[in-house]
Amino acid sequence: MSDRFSDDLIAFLPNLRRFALSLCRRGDLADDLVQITAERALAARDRFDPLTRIEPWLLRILRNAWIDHGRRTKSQGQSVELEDAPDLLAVDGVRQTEAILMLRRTEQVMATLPDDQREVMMLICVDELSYREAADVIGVPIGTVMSRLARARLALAKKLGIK
Amino acid sequence: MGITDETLVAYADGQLDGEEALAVERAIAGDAGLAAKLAMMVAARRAVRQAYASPAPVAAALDARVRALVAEDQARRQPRTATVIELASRRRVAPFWQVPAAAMLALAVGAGSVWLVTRDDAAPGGLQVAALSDPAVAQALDSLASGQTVEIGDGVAVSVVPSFRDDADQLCREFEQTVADGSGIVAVVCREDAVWDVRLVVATGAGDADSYSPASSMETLDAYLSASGAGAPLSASDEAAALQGLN
Repeated sequence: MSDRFSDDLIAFLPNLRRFALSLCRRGDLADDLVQITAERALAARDRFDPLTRIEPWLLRILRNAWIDHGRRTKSQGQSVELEDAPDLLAVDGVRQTEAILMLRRTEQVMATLPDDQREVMMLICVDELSYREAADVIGVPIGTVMSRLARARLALAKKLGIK
Repeated sequence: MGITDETLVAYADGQLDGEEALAVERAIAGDAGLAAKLAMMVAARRAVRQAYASPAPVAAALDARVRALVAEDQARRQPRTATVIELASRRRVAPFWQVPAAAMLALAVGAGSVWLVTRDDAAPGGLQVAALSDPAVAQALDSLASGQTVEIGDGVAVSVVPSFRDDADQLCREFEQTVADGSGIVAVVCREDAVWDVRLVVATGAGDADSYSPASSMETLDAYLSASGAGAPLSASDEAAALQGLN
């Protein structure tokens, strides 16, 4: 037996985990956040408006779970986990290596951005939420989303040497 | 008019409507610095999208945990009546005298123990343990063969399930009593001093959401029957003879 809500939730798990990793940068904690998100989403499914997109709704639950975690434990590790990074040695060919180096460098630069800038980048550039949806996920006015996004984009381009 | 970074990023993401977008395009045409900035914003988006192009793989363990949560959620959403039907068939498959020893650990109720279950809202027709002393119930227990149901008024139905002898060789009967709204009790009574002595009463679910769980009620009953040394159900003829002997 399956239903649309459950199917959508399961299909979106990889996206949730990607967003979780960008927030907490730890594989085990990201897994916990995804599981908590699934639990809360199922418990609150009667409050989900099926006329809206489920993706921003799930991302907001995950973000709130992350904030709750931060409230409980003040130790937010800054370590970048290697198991989730592409393995450079396993790749043959100079061009492929260069491409992957660029991707890695982008990830590293993303990690240097302030948290509030990195999350708008993830929501809008990666998960392709609209400005309105991103503002709802974060709980700020749409103008705040735009100014964070503009600053993040310019900072990232500068650090990547894009002129 | 100056173009802010916010407007420029919105333009880069195609979030501006026709007139606003036109204004940005006109400004860019006459400002190389602005055009370069726009290029940076577009490139930054592309770089990030490529870097995070593949969603993070979900380990099999996490996937399994979430699927288990989904299955639990779906089970919770089954209508209550479905649980009751399922329960009835389960009990037919595994009668109480075959309940494994582990189930006895769930609850060991000594013979003579009575669980008094009353409803907060003692509405007319609502169930009370006192109803067991109702002559109509006693009469049904005296005469009804197992498997039969009798209406004793006000939408109250009594059905006798099996008869058996307890460890003191007294005749015992298990019966279910339901009222019109679907709530009910299941009880075990044994014949003692010419009256039906109540041994166990358990509520068996009701129409309202926060009522008793039928499944656990039946587990309780099963555990009681196992723990109290209840014998195998009497055959129809043995039961008839036993009931005959009451009067």
